[in-house]
Amino acid sequence: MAQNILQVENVKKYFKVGKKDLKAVDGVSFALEKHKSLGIVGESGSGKSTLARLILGLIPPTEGDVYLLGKSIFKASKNEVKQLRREIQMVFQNPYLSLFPHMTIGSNIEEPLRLHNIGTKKTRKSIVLNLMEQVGVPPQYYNSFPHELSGGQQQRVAIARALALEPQLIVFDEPVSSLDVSIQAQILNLLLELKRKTDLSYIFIAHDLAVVEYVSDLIAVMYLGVFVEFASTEELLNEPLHPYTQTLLKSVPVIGGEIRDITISGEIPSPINPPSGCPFHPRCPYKKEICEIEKPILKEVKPEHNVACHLY
Amino acid sequence: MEYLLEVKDLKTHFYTKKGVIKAVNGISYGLKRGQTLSIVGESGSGKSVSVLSIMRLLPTYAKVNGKILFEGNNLLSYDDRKIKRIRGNRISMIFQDPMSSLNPTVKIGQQIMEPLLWHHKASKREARQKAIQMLTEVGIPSAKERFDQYPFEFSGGMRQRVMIAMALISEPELLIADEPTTSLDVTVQAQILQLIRKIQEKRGTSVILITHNLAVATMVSDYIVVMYGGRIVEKATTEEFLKNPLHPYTFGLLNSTPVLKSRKTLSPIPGQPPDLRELEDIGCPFAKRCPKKMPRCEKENPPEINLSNTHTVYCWLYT
Repeated sequence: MAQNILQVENVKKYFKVGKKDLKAVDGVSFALEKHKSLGIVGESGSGKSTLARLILGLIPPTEGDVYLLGKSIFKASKNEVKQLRREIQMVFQNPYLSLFPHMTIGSNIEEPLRLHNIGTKKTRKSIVLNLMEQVGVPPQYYNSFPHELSGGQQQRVAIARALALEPQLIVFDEPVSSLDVSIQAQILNLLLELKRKTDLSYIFIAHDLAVVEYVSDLIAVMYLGVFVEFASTEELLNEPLHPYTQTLLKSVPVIGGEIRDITISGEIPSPINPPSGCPFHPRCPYKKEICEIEKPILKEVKPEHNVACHLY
Repeated sequence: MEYLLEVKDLKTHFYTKKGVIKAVNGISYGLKRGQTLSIVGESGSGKSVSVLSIMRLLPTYAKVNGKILFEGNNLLSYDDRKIKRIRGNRISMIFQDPMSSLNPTVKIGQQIMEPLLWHHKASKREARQKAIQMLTEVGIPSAKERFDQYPFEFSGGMRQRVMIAMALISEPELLIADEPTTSLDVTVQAQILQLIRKIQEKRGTSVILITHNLAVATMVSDYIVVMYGGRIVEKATTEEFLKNPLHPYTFGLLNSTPVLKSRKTLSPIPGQPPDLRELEDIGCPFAKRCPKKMPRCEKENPPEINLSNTHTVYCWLYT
């Protein structure tokens, strides 16, 4: 477990909706090695953002635990938690909402350093300017306010702020989905560059499989609160095993491609009323009797290739 | 009459307190009957405003100039009464967010019948029958029961199907779809695109699709128009577009779009999309970000270069 930066053990998060449970995350386990990038894809309602918040310790799990550098983030003492917080940061979808609008770009990036009492005012400024250079924000923006920057620039600032404490792990939750494609490509390349130059690990959550492929070593496919498939990026794309992953791959629009017949119909069911057995069975073209009764567990069917499906 | 719709030198300018915003600045294209034309561009390119100009769905401080010929008649010369007879009847539109374009307090069935009743095309009874038939056609199961439900009882994909049913019930010649699948999940997006194409084949409706997604555009359309900073930079049949893209912005878009399993490295377009308030009348709108910029690009408007009857690029590189 030593080389694992993150270990997630059977985490569950149920929200109470009236008298019912909304099972946003329903038992997810995985480990992430140092300097690896994990992409999590899923459609809306699959629970990917809730999982991100659990990993960051922002919400307590209903069950299970998350270990960062071998320490439980939910059982650690207050002091330990503060230390752990330095090692894990996050970047959200809407950079404008995640930056303080009344604070300059410089103070926004400086804030985590201040909170952790790092350096003096002077040294902090030079750290901030360094970070701005690293993410490609021109230094003249130091005294600007977030609203004066474009969406792409704001997202760079949010990334700089996440990097300020030199964390070992950053969770990106849909960081490029509100950006235009030409700007999206700039941010994706920035992530690759950061990973190349530092020993950063990251988790990249998105609904766009092509984007996830571009920045991830490993990919997990989420559906109704569980991982239905988890494998290296190459494995997953070249030999998708789960019927849902196969459909997802077929649904991705391709330049110059044809609209392909989608073998599944309908949409992701509500997590308040999840189907019995396998969560995907109502839409699955290969449904068998057992699928309606028993929930398949994620198991390794090939080296580095895990799938939760009764077909295998 | 070859074209169903011909847009000629369309200019839509907004007169605001902060100055004139030239959202659409002289664009021309034609759409043939039964075909699909996609307008591709990033935010602020003017793609949505250009079709809102066709539908005349703009605030009063917008000034529209040029010609919009629908079956040879200039829609811009129509008064309000005349345009209302076209809108929702012969030209229909669907929008990105189906929740905010449906009335949350009115039953789905009522909303679908509305175009027919408003335009006096059917009695209430006929309209009801037709609405149920439309709901079935767009793939909504148990249409009869769903007829009496409210928008919140439908999922996002189902709501977009309702919008399509509503847009098509009056059997329009032209359907304008503004980012119809952008807020939908990818498996649902594929279903909706499939549905639009199926209906088009069956009814011969012409479609204008507004999208920021180049891949979606190439998959569904016969003709592609690329817009940047209020102007068209390139237009071509999809085949020509895929075989021989020419404008540096088109290249930029293609090189910025991740392609599944391609292992290609993305080469983003440097810089930021233009601020429409700062766009100059003279010069190429893309010049500031163009890797192949020449001195004349900022001083003179780019020439119209016709490579074929159907492929046009506006760029000094090809003179």
